Amino acid sequence: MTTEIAGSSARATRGGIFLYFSELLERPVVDCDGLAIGRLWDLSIRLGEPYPLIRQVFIRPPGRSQILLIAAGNQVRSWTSTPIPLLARLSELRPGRREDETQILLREELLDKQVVDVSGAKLERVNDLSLLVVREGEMILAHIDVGLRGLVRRLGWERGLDATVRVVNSKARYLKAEQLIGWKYIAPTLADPAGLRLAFSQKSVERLHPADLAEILEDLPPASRSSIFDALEVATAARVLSEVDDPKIQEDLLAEERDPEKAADLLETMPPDAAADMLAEMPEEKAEDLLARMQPGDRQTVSTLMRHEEDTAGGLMTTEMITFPATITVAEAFARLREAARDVEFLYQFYVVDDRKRLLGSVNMRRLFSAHDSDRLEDVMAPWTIAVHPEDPASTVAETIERYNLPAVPVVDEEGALVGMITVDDVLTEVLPLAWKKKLRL
Amino acid sequence: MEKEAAALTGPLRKPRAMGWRRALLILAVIGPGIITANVDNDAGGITTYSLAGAQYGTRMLWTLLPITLALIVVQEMSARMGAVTGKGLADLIRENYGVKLTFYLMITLLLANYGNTVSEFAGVAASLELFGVSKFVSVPVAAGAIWVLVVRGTYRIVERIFLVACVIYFVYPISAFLTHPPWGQVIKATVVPEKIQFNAGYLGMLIGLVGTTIAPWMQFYLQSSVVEKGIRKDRYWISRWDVIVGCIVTDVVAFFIIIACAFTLHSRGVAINDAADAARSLEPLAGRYASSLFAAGLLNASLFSAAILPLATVYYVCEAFGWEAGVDKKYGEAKAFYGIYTAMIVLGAAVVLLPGFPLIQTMFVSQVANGIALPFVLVFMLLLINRRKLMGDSVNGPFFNAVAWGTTVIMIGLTLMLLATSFGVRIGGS
Repeated sequence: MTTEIAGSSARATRGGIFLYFSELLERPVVDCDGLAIGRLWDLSIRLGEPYPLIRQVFIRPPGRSQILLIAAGNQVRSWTSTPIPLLARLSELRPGRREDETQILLREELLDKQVVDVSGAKLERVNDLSLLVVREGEMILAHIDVGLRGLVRRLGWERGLDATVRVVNSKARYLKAEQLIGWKYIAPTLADPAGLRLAFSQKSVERLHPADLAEILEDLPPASRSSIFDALEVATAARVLSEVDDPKIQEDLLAEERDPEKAADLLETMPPDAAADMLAEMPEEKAEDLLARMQPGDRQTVSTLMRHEEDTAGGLMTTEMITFPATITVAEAFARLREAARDVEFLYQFYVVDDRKRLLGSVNMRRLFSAHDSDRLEDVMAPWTIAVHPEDPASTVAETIERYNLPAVPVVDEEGALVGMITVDDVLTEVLPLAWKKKLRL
Repeated sequence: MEKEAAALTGPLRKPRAMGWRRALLILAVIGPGIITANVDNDAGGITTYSLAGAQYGTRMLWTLLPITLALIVVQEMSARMGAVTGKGLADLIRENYGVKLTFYLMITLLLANYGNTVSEFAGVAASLELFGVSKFVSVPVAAGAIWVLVVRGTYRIVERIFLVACVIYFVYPISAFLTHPPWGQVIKATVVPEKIQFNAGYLGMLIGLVGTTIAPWMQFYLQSSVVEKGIRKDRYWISRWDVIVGCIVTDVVAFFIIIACAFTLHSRGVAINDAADAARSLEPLAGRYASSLFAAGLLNASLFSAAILPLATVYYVCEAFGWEAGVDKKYGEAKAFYGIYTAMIVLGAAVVLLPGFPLIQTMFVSQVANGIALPFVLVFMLLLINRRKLMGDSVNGPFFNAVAWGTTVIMIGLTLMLLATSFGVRIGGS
C-alpha cells in the first residue's frame, strides 16, 4: 500500500521518530566512553515479523575494510544522535556475520534490490528504507521507499532539489509525494540457495492472486524467480504455474524444482490439460521421469491428453468434468455435485451420458436450480449434442463455442463417446494473440 | 495396469529424438550474439569503416585483429554474466554499486545512446537522399513508423526481416575482391601494426573504430538477451560460440568495407563528404547501381538499429531505477518508459532535421563518443565479473582480465591523448 505522508513535519510522529536508512548509513558510531568505533555499515532484521526490530548493528572500523564489528540493536543508546552512541564498550564488540538464517541485512540484501509489493501486485526497486524509532534503543523497519524522492535523497540532492522546486511551484506534488510501502506488504526476492530463510518471508506472497503472482514471476530475473516459486505451497504453486504464459518459463520453473517428488505433486494438482501441455514441451526423459512419479490415475489422464496435438480439440480438452446418467433425479445430481466439487475446476456445465458414455445432452447450473428435486435428468437436460471431435482444430472449437454461446463444448470420439470437455477460457488463450504479445518484450 | 502401460508407451506428442534434441538446443540458444553483431554494423559503423578506408587506406587495418580479440573477450564476459547471474547488467550495477554510481553511468549511457540514435536517423536521411527523398520527409516518416512498430508490439516480426536483410553486407566482400587489391600488401597491413600518429584526426579515428565495434550499449543488450532467452550455465557453451561467431562476422564485414573504400576512394584521393561518396566504394561490383545498393544497405542498418537502440536504452534505465517497463504495459503504468522512449525518438529525429546538419560527421562523432564512454562500462563489468560471490567459479581468468583491463587502459589513454592533441598539446615527435 502506497501511503503519501504530507511534508517532513509529519515525520516526527507522536510514537517516535522516523529516520531514513540513507541518513544512518556511514554515520560515525562511538562506544559508551565516547571512543570512536567506526561508521555504521549495515543493520539486520529478522524475517517473518510484520514490524521487525533492528537486531544487529554492523560497524566498519576505519582502515580495516574486511572486518565488521557487531553490536546488538538494543545496545544503541540513541539512534537520533550524531555520532551514534552505544551502551557497550569498544572492547566488548566482536567481529562476525549475521546471527542466523532467518535474518537479512538491510544494506546488502534489501537496499537497491527488487521486492514484491503484495498490496500493489507488482515489482518495485528499493530506493530507501524508513525506520521508526519506537523509543531510544528500539527501532523497527516500517516502510520501504520506492519513490522518486527516495532516489533523489540517495543521490544527495534532496535539499537542493526541494528548494529549487519550491521556488518554481511551492505546491508541487513532488514535494509531498512519498511512496512508502509498509514492510508487512513486502516480500523480498532473495536469491537464497538454501531457501530456508525464504520460507519465513513468503507467506505474504501467497495473498496475491495466482495470475498476478505469475506475472510478477515472469518479470523477475530467473534466479529470484525460482527462489520465490520454490517457497510456495504446492496448491498455490500449481495455480501459479498454470497461469504463467511463457512455456519456456513454465518449463524452467518445473525443471528447476529441486525435489522431483514436489514437481510431480505440482503436476497432479494442476488441471490435467495444463499439466499435459507442459510435459509435452519438456525433453522426453524429463517428462517420462515426472510422469512415472505421478499417481497412476493422474498419470493415465495426463498421458492420454498428451497424445493429441496441442492446437486441436484433443490437446485443448480436459478430462476433468462431471457426467451424470440420464436416469438419476435432480436431487441425486446435486448430491453427486457436492461430492465432486472439491476436485473439479469447472462447475457450470455437466453432461448426461448413457451406459456406454455416449453423449445424450447437457445440463447447467441454471437448469438444475430451476428444476424440481424429483425431476429426472433426462427431462431436465437440453437434448443437444453439439460437440467437437478430438482432431478438430482450435479454430473450429472457438467457432462452435461462439456460435452456440457455450461456456464449454464437449469432445466426442468416432463412436459418440464423451472423452473430454473444452472450456471457453482454454480456447480463448489459443485464439487470442494475447499470450503471444507478452513474448515481444526485449 | 495394462491399459496404463499402453497409455505410457503410445506415441507422445512431439517426440524428440536424441540427435534432434541437441540440434534444437543449439537453435534455441543461438541468436543473441549474432543479432548483437549485426546491430553493431549500424549507420555509425558503416560510416566509420568507410571513412577509415577512404582517409587512411589500409593503414588502419592492423587495428582490426586486436579489436576483434577485445570484442570477443568483452562480449563473452557479458554473455557469461547473463548466464551465471540471470540478471541484466544495469540490474547488477544498481544492486552492487548503489544509486549514485548507477545514476551517473545511466546518464552517460543515455547521452551516448542518444548520440547513436541521432546517427541512425542521419543514416536514414543520408541513404534516402541518394534515392532523391528529402530528409524532411524520410526522417519523420521513419521515426513515426519505428515508434508505432515498437509500441504496438509488432517489432519482433520486423526484427527478422531486418536480420535477413543484413545479407546485404556481403556486397562489401564482393566489391572488395573486384577492386583486385594487392593482397600481399593488405595482409601485411593487417598483421603488422603501424606506428600510431599523434594527431587528433588519427586518434579520433582509432577511438571511433574501437567505439563503433565495441559499443557500450551492446554489452547491456547482449547480457539482457542472454537472460531473456533463459540461457543458463549448463547451456552456456553454445552461447559462447554464438558470441564468437557474431564478433568475427562483424569484423570481417568491417575488414572488407575498409578494403573496398581503400582501393576505390583512397587510391584516387577521394574524400568522403557525403553518402554518395561512400557509395562509390561499391562501384566495382554494381557500377552505376552502386549508390542504390549502398543506400539500401545503409537504410536497412539504420532502421534496424534505430528500432533496437532507443528501446534497449530505455529498458536499462528503467531496470536500473525500478520503473515499470515494457511495451505490454499501458501508458499510465509505465510513464517513464514511454516518456524516455518517445523523447529519444522525437529529439533524435528532430536534430537531424536542422538545416545544414552534417550527416556523415555526426555518424562518425557519435562512434567516437561511444569509444570515450566504453571504459566506464568496462570498469563496472570487470569489477562485477571478478566477484566470486556473484560469479562463483565463473570469474574471469587472467587472460580475459588482461585483455579487458588492457582495453580499458588503452581507451582511457587514447581519449586523454585525443583531448590533449585537440587542445594543441604536442606529444612525442609528431
